[in-house]
Amino acid sequence: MRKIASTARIVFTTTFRRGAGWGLLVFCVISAVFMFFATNSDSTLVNELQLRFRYSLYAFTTILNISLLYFGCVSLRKDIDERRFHTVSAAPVHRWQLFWGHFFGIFSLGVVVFLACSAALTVSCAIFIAGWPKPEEKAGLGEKFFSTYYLCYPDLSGIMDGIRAEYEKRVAQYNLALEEHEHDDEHHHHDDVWKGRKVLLDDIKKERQIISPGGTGSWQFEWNPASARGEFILLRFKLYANVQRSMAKGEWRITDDSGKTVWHSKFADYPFLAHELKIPLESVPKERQLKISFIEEGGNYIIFPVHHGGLLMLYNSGGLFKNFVLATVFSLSHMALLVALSLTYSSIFSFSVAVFVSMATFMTGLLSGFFAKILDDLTFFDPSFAKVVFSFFLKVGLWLTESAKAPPVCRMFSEGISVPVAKLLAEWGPGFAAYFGIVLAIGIISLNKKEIDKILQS
Amino acid sequence: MSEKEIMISCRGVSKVFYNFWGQARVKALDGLDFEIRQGTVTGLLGPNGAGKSTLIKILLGHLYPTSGDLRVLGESPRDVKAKERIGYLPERTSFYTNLTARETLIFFADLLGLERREAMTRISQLLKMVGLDNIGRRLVGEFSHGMRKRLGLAQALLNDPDLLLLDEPTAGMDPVGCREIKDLIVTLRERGKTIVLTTHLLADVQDVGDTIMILYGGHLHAAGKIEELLSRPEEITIRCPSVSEDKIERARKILIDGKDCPFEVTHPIRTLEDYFLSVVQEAGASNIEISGARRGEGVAQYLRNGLEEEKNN
Repeated sequence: MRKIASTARIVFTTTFRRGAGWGLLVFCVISAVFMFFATNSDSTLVNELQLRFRYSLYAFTTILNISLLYFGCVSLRKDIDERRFHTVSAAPVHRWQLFWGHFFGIFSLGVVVFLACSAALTVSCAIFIAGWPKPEEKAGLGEKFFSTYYLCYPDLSGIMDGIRAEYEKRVAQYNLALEEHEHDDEHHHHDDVWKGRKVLLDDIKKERQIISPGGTGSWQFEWNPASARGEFILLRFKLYANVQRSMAKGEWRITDDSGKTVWHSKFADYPFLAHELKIPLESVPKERQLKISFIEEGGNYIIFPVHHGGLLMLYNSGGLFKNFVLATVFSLSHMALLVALSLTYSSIFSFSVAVFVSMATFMTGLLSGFFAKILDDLTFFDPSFAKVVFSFFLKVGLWLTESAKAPPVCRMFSEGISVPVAKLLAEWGPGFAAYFGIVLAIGIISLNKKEIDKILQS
Repeated sequence: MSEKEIMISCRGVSKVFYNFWGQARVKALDGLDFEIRQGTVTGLLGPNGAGKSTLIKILLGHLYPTSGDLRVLGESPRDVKAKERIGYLPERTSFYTNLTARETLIFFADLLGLERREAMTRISQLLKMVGLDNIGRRLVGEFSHGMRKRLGLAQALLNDPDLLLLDEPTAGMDPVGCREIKDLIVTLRERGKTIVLTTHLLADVQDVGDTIMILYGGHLHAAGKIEELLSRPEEITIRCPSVSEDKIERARKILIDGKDCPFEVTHPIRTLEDYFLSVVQEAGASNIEISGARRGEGVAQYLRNGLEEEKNN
């Protein structure tokens, strides 16, 4: 441990003495502060703060992430290229200890810069709030900015299954129609399928979610009643209606397990607006599944666009500081992965190649959503063998790069949404842990097993 | 001699470098067989590309032999345990340029697992020994090549090693430093330390070495004790105070006894090294301020431990 700590201290110290560490620190702090004061929103204090926080966090974490990739490559590769590694590894020290030393040295740099930027943002935030000209908006900050809310999306699995079944049914109908009219001169296209998959799917989604006059829409939310704080839970929604100029009317209801209504509230407002409904926490059943329904009463066809965040449930689950700690832990975990990635690349490739491959991995990680969509399209419906092979390679590529993408904690933190630890650990954690483990293993084995001259010549 | 510990044992060691396609590119070492015992100073000699550096790298575990069996201090060279007893001075001493000499040595002391107080004592003594005590807090980046070499030597001796591998130890050093290194090698040998040095300066090896090994094309071409390999039994040298021409003539008549063979009488001359050192010593006595390395102050106390008592006994 002492050998690792000593190597880490040397890596950290020399990075700052070279000036590069100070340069990065100053650049990140200036970027964070500049971004905070340079952007603006809709002139309401909460929105201003949230947007400025968001852009600032994106700015400095992106710079820091890219810099850490570069510093990781410099740290180990320069030691090898300038033959310091030869002298150091002649001492009674395992090469894996040197790897970890470099890892912790560069990671410490990331932690210091991250905390310095966070401190600079806190000061900027305090200055901004102090100089805000509308005192009445400052009063609401405690609830709207310094409190954080856990965000729940409605369970869409049932809806998605229905949509898929409907889609498959219509495609089958289309194929049947084609067979029946194979020899006709006039082609009878089935209009729905002819629209194209995306449009057809969107149409089916809408059809499945339309609430007819007098009809009912119901949604299930999974939440943790034990962690809810405050007096209310919030229901945020948007709704669209076929008659735009008349009010949409109806009633919101919450029912318990037995189907008994435990809370209800009348609703009447114009569609195409964002709405927020406060539901007293004491009225809500303390069950993990919460069923919320809307009964249409205005004779309108209405729809809540749930796929696009049109219906969300939020509940107060703690303060900004707790959220900062959680967001920091996730951000730093991601930084640790980037450092490991760059060290691994620099134990395999030459300096320039290691830097290039590190950056390429990071950049493709940012585009992983795009590749995921391609994969989704490829495998959606009876894929051919070639498509299966191609999608396999795409899956491997996605896996290789997706973990290099930061978890969405910066966005959550800046919008006052509680970082969902359990959800993130379940969705992001296993892939991250496996990726991190494999990256470290490759790096350590490569550095440990190869002849130093071979590493030098790579 | 034979009871002494075998420090390095090399049995049929070969090293082949392959290209990317797995084809043999260079055979750097070819079936080397030798043993180096405790308390000897061995000069590893050979022209460029003979395999000296490859052998040193294999001894340090930086390269792995293609075939054969190599034991350093009874262990595989890749065993970290063995490295606790080895000191290594590389030909090109590369340290972190943004650390001071003292910080560099503290870092290596940590890697060696030395207890902090003991490490600080040794570092102070070593810096004094290599003449860097006055600039121990200067950044290594500001050091000249020779000063870095001195620091490298201090680093190599930090763990009081049983086996010292010196790769071109005097390259880039001033004559004062060269002499100090040679004095140090002698002192360490007296303490029973084993030293392997590679150099192109044959006189250095002749001055301090016990045995030499001459490599050529990866083969060991000659090995043995220096005096045995270099002695010329067909000639003798007589040294005496200066005498008259008359006496020289009489001696010639007695020694060659009328035979027609070469007989040479000259005044011995000092080596340039001796002359230079005496000039520097005189200059040093006048206390002129210098910003670089000073003359080293003997051998560090911890490296002499036990030696004085032995001599007194």
